Amino acid sequence: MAQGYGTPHAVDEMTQVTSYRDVGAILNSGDARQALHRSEETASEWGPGPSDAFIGDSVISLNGDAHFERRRLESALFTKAGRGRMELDIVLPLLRRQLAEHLEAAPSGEADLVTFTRLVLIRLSGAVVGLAPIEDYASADRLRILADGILSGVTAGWATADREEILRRALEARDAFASEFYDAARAAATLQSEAKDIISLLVTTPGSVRSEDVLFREAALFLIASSSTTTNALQHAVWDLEHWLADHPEARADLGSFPFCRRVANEALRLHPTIPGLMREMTAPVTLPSGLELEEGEFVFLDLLRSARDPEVFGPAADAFDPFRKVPKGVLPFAYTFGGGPHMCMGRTLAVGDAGSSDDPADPQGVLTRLLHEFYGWGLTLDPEREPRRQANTAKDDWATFPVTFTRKVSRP
Amino acid sequence: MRISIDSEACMGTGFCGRIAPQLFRLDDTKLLSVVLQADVPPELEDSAREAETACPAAAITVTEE
Repeated sequence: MAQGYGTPHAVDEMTQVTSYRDVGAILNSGDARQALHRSEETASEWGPGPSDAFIGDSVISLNGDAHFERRRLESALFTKAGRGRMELDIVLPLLRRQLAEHLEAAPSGEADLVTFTRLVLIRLSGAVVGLAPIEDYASADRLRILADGILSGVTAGWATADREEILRRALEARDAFASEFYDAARAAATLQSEAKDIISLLVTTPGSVRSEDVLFREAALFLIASSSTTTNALQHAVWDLEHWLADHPEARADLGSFPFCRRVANEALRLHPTIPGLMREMTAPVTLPSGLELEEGEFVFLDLLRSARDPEVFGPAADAFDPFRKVPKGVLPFAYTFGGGPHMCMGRTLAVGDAGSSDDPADPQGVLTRLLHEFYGWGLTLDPEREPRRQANTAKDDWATFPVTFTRKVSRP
Repeated sequence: MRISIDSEACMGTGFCGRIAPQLFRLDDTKLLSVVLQADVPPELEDSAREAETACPAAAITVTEE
């Protein structure tokens, strides 16, 4: 019966959940299971899904004990010290080197923020997955293209045109990723390897995945997931911030503050979730805070866009960008952009830091916070001649190009 | 070492109680996790750190003393 379920095509047939508190109640409920991506268990019940070939049976698709065990193992990569190494030893030096070299080659300071950011972050993704270090731009750009191709396959259900063609190209990208990057990294990983990335962690933990295919799909998941939210949110943050600053010019002085940059990041993440929604199947009857009653076996669509703009939680100006927004206690400032409950994105603190983040630049601040702080340190401004352009043919809120200019040759002191 | 849970941030996944049952427990009535002993004995320090990192809600704080 459920061939169409678990695909965005079927959203209109599902119960729509749009309030912040109802979405949270389902995400945090032990009586709901992942229905957007399939595990071996759910695929056998519902039939194949569009993302199976790319991330099927990866941690994002699992439920219950299998999910807990996989997630428990992999979260070891995201300790505060681990996040600090990723942000301060990988991202920041790469970003500064890339900016300096770019400004040497392009004295006008013009750059496309989409490509520029992706070239930095794809190397972070490669490190998280366990690929060999990517030293040159050509290799980074190739991996970026393949990761974007795989991501387009995973999210093909949101495409509004050419879905079959997108899937065909995505499968080509997946296979090229395997032969050009993954296979060598997998061959280098042994039981004796230091467990410092996804591949080595799973290889050195016998029984953590049931097959080499699942290991590959787990690597593919982390390739696309460990930086896609940050990549997507950065342009939104700059766009919204620049328009807000036009009415609040005094706040430009705050751009050197990590807490302010984190507020900007949180607000952009709230307004622009990476995907429009999540899907769950109820495994028991549940009554939501609004009084809506859900039955066992009911499929629900959790509307991330609308719930993040719920005026009962975020106020009457919930649609507006306001980095000084105050949210009620217990409310996530970025709403459910990272999901919630047991499936909360593992990279959330890597993206925006944690509650204990300080204003000390030597501490991990979250990669998105750090990128905003650093880019404005190099004098980022919107390009007055060229307008940013959004991605066509998708329900996702993405940018295709985002021209900017860097007005300094070095970062602020 | 001391541990605490931000009850506003806790999402009640119960991961902490599964990783370190001597330190955390899921309060079934509130659907939130609670700390069983705030002062962590040395033999449980690794479990406390693992629970902190594995918490999907980033609601646990471990303070080294």
